[in-house]
Amino acid sequence: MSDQRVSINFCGGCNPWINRQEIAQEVKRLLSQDGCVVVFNSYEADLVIYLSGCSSNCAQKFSSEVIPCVVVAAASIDAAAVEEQKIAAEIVARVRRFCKRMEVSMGSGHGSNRADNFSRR
Amino acid sequence: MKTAAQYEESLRRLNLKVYLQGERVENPVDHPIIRPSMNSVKTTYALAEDPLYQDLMTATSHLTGKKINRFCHLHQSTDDLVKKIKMQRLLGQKTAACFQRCVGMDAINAVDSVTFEMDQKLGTKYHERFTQFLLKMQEEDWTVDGAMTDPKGDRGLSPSQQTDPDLYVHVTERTDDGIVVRGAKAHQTGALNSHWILVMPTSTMRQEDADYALSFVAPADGKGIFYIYGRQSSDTRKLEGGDIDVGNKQFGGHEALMVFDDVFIPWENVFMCGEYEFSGVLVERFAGYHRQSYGGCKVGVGDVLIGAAAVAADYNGAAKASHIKDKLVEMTHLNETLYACGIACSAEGHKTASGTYLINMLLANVTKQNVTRFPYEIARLAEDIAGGLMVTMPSEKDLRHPEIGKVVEKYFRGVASVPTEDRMRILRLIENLTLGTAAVGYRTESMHGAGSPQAQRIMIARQSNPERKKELAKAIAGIGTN
Repeated sequence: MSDQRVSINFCGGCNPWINRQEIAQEVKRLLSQDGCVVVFNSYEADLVIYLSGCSSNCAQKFSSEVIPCVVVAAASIDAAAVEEQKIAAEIVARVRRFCKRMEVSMGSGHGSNRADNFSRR
Repeated sequence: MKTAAQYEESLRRLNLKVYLQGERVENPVDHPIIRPSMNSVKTTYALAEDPLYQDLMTATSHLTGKKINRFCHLHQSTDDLVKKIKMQRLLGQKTAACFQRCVGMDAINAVDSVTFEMDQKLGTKYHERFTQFLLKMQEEDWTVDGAMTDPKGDRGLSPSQQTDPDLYVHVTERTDDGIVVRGAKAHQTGALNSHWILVMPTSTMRQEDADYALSFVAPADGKGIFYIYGRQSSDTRKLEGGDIDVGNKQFGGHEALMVFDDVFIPWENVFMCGEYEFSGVLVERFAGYHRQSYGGCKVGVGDVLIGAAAVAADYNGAAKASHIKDKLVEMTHLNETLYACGIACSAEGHKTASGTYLINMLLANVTKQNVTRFPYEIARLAEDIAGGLMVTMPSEKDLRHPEIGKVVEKYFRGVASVPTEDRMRILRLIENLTLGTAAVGYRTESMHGAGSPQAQRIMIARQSNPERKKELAKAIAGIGTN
């Protein structure tokens, strides 16, 4: 489905309310099946999943990178509450939507990595 | 960066001269009393390798642009100061002990800005020398012991007035190649787990004490340096071979007396030698950073103690009692107050002339002043919740005994679903933290580490800006406005 490069960028983990490791492993497993390349703690990526253990959102807030992203901070995605058991699936759904838009964008000749309606910083 | 295994291996290559309980220790790394403290420092390397913790455990060197362990980093922003606190909380949670490496990080940050300002004013070359050392420290990922506290002898006398001049580290000889130093540093946290020692003066020196205004680095196994290991309560339980009675088998901390017996220091490793007018600011900045540190590390250990108390309540069948819930709330309130102070003094930090960021001194001292009190109350509440059994229950050997083990199993069980062994384990952990080997770090170090309570009160008085507060009061009261 995709050859997008996705990075999961962790906070430092001093106050985790969710199991970041389990979520990351599940996301990596599912996205790898889609053909995505999943790396950790990198900005050399088409999309970054910021994965913070608490609402402080340290994974993203200390970053100045401008890049399409999904922001997970405790049991929330892009500031909306999500049950912990559904976080991995919801992340993957959002990444798939991103990948689809990228494919459409490439197909229409717009070769940039723009992904409208996606979070950015 | 070094891996955890490489760190351990690098310690094995050191030729440290260590005495413990009247005997020379040939292999400190594997000594059962010392080993847990090495494991704590090793964790600072292990977590830096793990993507789950790298955001806190690593930083980018402002000197080389390379990724380095945060313990080798000079704070380049208030974000760095905040991350330092979060990293320390994380390590406190993972070890439930003093992980020892903060003191070197605090020392390099203090020495950096002070040597820069010395060179600006005096035309010396100390900052350039220090930077060369820092580059090597970052490249080699060294653990550095920040050595400040002298034995001090008669507290009513200055260093040069002491009957024995060696009660403060001082210069005994100056040559074209370097200096010779003599004296000792007391309470040296993590000394045996360090590659290098960064010495600083212990207090503000006056002109007559210029020989005591000293800062330098020396290899931890340098010629003429030796160590006498500090005892901890219940330390010999580590020699018994079990894993319940020690409370925390894997991790610990340590302190030692570090003796300099006519040690030669080449000039390139000297960062202050006689410039007594800068001794006070170096002490103040190091102490400020270290008082900030306690708003992170003690909070992480507090997290473990609160968790242990809550588990003990579960195992005792008392978790639903309202007073137990309230005590856990109070412990959390106290612990998070310490964290709030640590974060606040970091977020309110500022840039020094060298570019390195310094904490807000008033708030750092308030942080530490609270640390001299709150862990004691948290420990008291943990003991309250745990019950007297934490100090009266039989040993692990009794539990394992083929005959009386059944009796121990029967009479020390709490709720039926929890094995007696688990109950004993959690109570021993509480004992370890509140009055065992880890209480050295969680209690008395909270009182005296980074300066005793009165030292913070002096700084708070100096920083409190009382005249401004008087003006505010007068303005509201209408005094002097008519």
